[in-house]
Amino acid sequence: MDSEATISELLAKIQFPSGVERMVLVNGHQANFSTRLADGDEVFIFVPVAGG
Amino acid sequence: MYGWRGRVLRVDLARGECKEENLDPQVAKDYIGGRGLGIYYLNKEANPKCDPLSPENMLIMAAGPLTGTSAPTAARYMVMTKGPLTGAVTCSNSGGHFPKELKRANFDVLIFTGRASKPVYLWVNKDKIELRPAGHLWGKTVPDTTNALSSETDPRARVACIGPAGEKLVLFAAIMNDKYRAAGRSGVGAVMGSKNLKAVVVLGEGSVPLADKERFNEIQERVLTKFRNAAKAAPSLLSQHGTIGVMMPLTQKCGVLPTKNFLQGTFSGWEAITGQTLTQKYLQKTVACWACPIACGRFTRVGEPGFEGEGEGPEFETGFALGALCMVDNLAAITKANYICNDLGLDTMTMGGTIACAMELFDRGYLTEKQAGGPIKWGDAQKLIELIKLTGYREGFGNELAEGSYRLAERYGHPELAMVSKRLELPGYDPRGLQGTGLNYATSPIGGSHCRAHMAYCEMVGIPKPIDPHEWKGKARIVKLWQDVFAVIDSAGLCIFFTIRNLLYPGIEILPEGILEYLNAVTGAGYNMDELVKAGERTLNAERMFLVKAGFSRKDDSLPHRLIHEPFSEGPAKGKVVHLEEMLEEYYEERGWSREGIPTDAKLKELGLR
Repeated sequence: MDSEATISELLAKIQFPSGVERMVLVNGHQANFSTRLADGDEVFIFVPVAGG
Repeated sequence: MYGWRGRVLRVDLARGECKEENLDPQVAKDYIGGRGLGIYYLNKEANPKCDPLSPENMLIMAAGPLTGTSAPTAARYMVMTKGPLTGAVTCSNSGGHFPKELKRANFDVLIFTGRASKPVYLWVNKDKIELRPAGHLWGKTVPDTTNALSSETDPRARVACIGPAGEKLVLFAAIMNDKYRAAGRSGVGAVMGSKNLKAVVVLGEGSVPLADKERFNEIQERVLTKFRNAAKAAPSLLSQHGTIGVMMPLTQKCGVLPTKNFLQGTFSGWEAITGQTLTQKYLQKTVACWACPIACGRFTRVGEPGFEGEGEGPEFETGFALGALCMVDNLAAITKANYICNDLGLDTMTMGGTIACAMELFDRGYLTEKQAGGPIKWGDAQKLIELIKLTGYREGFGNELAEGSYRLAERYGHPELAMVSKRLELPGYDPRGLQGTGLNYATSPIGGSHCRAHMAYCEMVGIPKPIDPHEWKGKARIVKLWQDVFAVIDSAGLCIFFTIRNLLYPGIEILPEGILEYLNAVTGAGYNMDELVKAGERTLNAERMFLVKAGFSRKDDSLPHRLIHEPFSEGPAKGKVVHLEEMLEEYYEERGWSREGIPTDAKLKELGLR
C-alpha cells in the first residue's frame, strides 16, 4: 500500500465485497473509510453478520 | 391465549403439592414473559430480605411468549430468584431445548416454594404432573443425572438439573439444561439444591399456538431471507468460530481483554485460546439451540493426555475467565476445565474470576501455600483443573473458593481484589476502555453482567452506530435505552445474538421493531412500540424495587477500586479509568431515580408499579 493510503483504498485492494457491513479497527481504535494508514499500523476487519 | 400458554404451575416443595393457575392476560401483556413475569411474581410474593438458601426463597422458571415458536432464536427461558452469591435478583438465562419443551407442555411459568424434606424431581408429562423421589440421583453429575432421567421418564423429555455443586450449595452453582446449557449466574443452582430439587423434566406435544399464522410466516420469510443473504455475502464469524472466535480477537485488539485478574488488558497467549484455534484443534460440530440459524454452540473433543474429554464449549466468557484472567494459555486445559464445570454444574465465569482472585492473593502473599493447600500460580493449567474439582464438591481449599471471589478476598483481608459488581464476577470486557460497559456493569440489576445490555458490543464494534468507547458523557442515556430493550428481549424469550443484529431498529435507540412484529403476530395482544419499550422499563424498575427492598442503593452500583483508580499502562485504553460517579449522576437522572438510585414515586406511577 502507498503510505497514507485510506481504509477505503485498503478495502478495494483486498477486494473486500462491497455492500457487506463491516467494522474496521486501526490499532484498536474504530476507523472509517477516510482514516489514513501509517507504516506498521495494525488493521482488523470484522464482519458482524449475526450479532457477533 | 396465543403465544402464552396462559398457565402457571406452583410447586409447594414442603407439602409436595403441585397446583395450576391461570396467567392473568393483562399481567402477561404488561410484563411480556420470562424475565418480566419472573420479577412480577418475585415482587408480589417473595421476601426481598430472605436468606437466599432458606425455604423462604422462591425459585421461578419462566419462558417468554415467543419461546418455542420458530421465530429465530426463540429458545430462551429465565431463572429468577434471590441469588445466594449476590443477594440481588437473578436473571439467569439459558437456551437449548428445555425452554421450548416447557412451552409445549403448556406452561409459561414454574414457581417453586419451600423445601422438600428429601431430594425430589419434578416430572411434567403433558397433563400429568408429579414430584418424584430423587435420592438415587443425588451426587450424580449433570450428564449422569440427565441420562438417568431420560431413561426413567421418556427419551424425548428435556431435563434441567443441578450437579454436585448445586447440592453442595456452591454459591455460583448453575442450573444445567440439555446437559451443556447453563442458567449460569448468581448461584441459581444452589437455590435449587437448597430446596432439595434435583431436576425438572418436561415433555409436551404440538406447537405453540399463533394468533396470526399468515403474518408470522411473512415476517419469518423476510427476516430469515435477509439473514441468509447476509451470511452468504460474508460468512458469520459467530457460526464459524463461536463467541470465542468473535470476542477473543476483538477484546484483545481493543485492549480490553481482562487478563491477570484485570491487571492487564491484553494477553500474550490470546491466539492459543481463541475460537479459530478451537475450530482447528477440537471442534467436532457446531450446535444450535431451538430455532437458531446461527449455531454458536461448539461440540468439542480433546485428546491431550490429562485433558481428555468431550462436550460443549468453551464459549468466549468461559475462555476469557478460565484462560486470560488466570493467565492460562492452554486451550486443552481450558476446554477440559469447561467440561468439568458443566459436569458439576458450576458457572464458568465466577469460577474463573474466583481462581484468578486466588492467584493474585497468592502472588501478593496474602494467601499462603498452607492456607491454599499448595501454591496457586498464574497460568498453572493443572492447578486450574484441580481447584475446579475441589470447588464443585466443596473439598479442601475448594470450600473457600465455593463462596466466590468477594467472600474469598474479604476473608484474606483484601476485598478490593475481587473483580465484582454486587459480588458478581465481571465479564470479559474491561470497562476502562469501554465507559458505557462500566456503567452497565455497575447498574445491572444482577451485578456484573454483560447480558443486561451489551454495551461492549456497541462500544467495540460501533454497531448500530459508532460511538467513542472512551467518552463517558452521554453514555447514561444509551445504557438506559439498551437496558430497557434487553429486558424486552429477555422477556420475549429471544437470544440477544440474532436479535441485536436483525430485530432492532438500527439506530442508537435500538427500538425493538422486529420483536414488536413477532410479538403481535404470535400473541395478538396488539402491542404498540411505546407499550413494548415501557414493558422493558417496567421490568428494570420492578427489579430495582426488589433490590431497594433488599437493602441495595447507590453504594452498591459500584465497580472494583482497580477499574476506577488504576489506569492501564499500555494498549488502546492506556491511561483510562472508568468515570463511574459522573455517569451514575447522569444515569439516575435519565432513569427518573433519586440521587441515591431509588425510583421516584412519579416514575413508579408512570409504569404502573405503585
